[in-house]
Order: sequence, then C-alpha cells, then structure tokens
Amino acid sequence: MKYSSLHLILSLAIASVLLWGCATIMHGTSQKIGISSSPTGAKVSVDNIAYGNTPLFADLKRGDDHIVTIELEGFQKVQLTVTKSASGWVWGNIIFGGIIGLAVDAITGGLYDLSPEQLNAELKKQSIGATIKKDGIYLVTVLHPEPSWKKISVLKSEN
Amino acid sequence: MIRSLILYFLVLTSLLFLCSCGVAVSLSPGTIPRTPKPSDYAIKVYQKTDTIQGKYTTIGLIGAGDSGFTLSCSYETVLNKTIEKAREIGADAIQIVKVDSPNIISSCYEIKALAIAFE
Repeated sequence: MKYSSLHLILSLAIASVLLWGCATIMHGTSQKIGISSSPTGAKVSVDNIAYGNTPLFADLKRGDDHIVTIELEGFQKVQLTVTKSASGWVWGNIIFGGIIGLAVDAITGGLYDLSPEQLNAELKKQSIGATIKKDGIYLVTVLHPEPSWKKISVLKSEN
Repeated sequence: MIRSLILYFLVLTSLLFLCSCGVAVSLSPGTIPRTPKPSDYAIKVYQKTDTIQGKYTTIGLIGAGDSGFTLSCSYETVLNKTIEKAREIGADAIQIVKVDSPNIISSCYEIKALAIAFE
C-alpha cells in the first residue's frame, strides 16, 4: 500500500516535470504570420522595425502584441494589429497541475496564440478624386497631404 | 519524497505571492515613449470604428488584462489602467482595437488599444 502511494506520487511528480511549459514545448515561442497586400511589394514594418516587402511570413514573438505597418508610395498607409490570447495548450498545464509549467509558458510567451494568422491589406490610392473645372484647373483631392506641400491659396465655394 | 512535495508547495506558494493581484499592462515592442502626460490629462478614447481626425502617430499598442491572479478587472478598471499607461508613455488618445470579455480561462476583461499622439 505504502509502495503504491509512493509510486503514484512519483509518477505524478514526473508527469508534472514533463509537462512544465507544455505550450512552449508544443508550439514554440514564436508564430509565423502571413502578411500580404494588394498591390504587392509594399514595405512591411513590425513594431517600427522594417521587415521586408509583401507578400511575406513574419516570425513574431507569441508573448507580445504587435503593430504591423504596410506602406506603398502613392497609397494610404495601413496599420494592423496582431494580438495575443491564451492558447489551447494552457489546458495541458491546468489539467495536469503544472502550475510551474503555466508560469514557464507565460514567461516564454508559449502560453499565447497570435491572431489573426493572416493579414491582408487592400491599399487605397491616396488620391480620392480628380475633376476638371471649366477653366482647365485640375482639382485633385487627397486624404493625407504630404508634409512638404505648401499652402498657396484657399479655394472658395461658388455658391 | 515528502521533502520534494514541500519544496513544490513552497515554490507554488511563492509564485502566488509574487504574482500581482492588479491588472497586467503590457506594451508592444518598438513603442516610442514620449514625455509623460500629467495625471489629470484627459486621454481621448476612440472605438475601433471611429475615424481619428487630424494628423497623428501611433506610438504603441497597449494591452491590459489578467495578470493571472487579478481580483478586480471590470471593463472600467481595465480601461482606466489602459488610459493610465497611455498617459505614462505620453499619448494623447487611445483607440480600442480589441475587447475580450471574461471567459472560461479568465474572469477578466482584456483590452488592446493603440496609443496615439497628435502632431
């Protein structure tokens, strides 16, 4: 009797040691996120660090939230977020009593899944309208004027 | 064996004591903090669908939610922690991009918000 109790305790101890950091072991501390844009070839930066041009796969740390910026000349800049949430592997630690494993997963980031797994940006052209006035002046409307542009005049309504 | 169990229990108890009971607040890597705002500075709160008027820069992404042993984490508490962090990093406004309601894993609300600085 005494032997079997000891055996059970030993087995449980070994199991909890083996399951420490269940999620970290199962899916690692980083996750691949696909980033694409239409049109392609846009510059991608993640958390203010240049990453490459679309389409690409970014290997992002599971333990952090991330800001993905997609830029292409002549198009509006797009900013997307990739956020972390608890991974299903967390149950591996909870069920088998691996509280330490849970802490290990939380520290390494293995506890989390990043979502969405795929980002796709539909880039919109900066110019949103162009019309020709009677006197031959082109009127182009842009959403985000370039900082280098200078104000030279103010258009007044004809009404 | 009993010694190992006692050790396991002690480590577990220490972990529980070491873990904060408050809301956990995190910042995305690459956040560029600015001069902190005073504690009474009114931070504007935009929802996901709101259009932000004027020129602005996103300085980071704030995450606030369960620290593991959080006792008070209503939506208001978590939002206030997010606003507090925004002031700390010198933001003028936040735009909430994600809200997670309490679920089977956590009894806390979780908010993700972009920290915005107007130019």
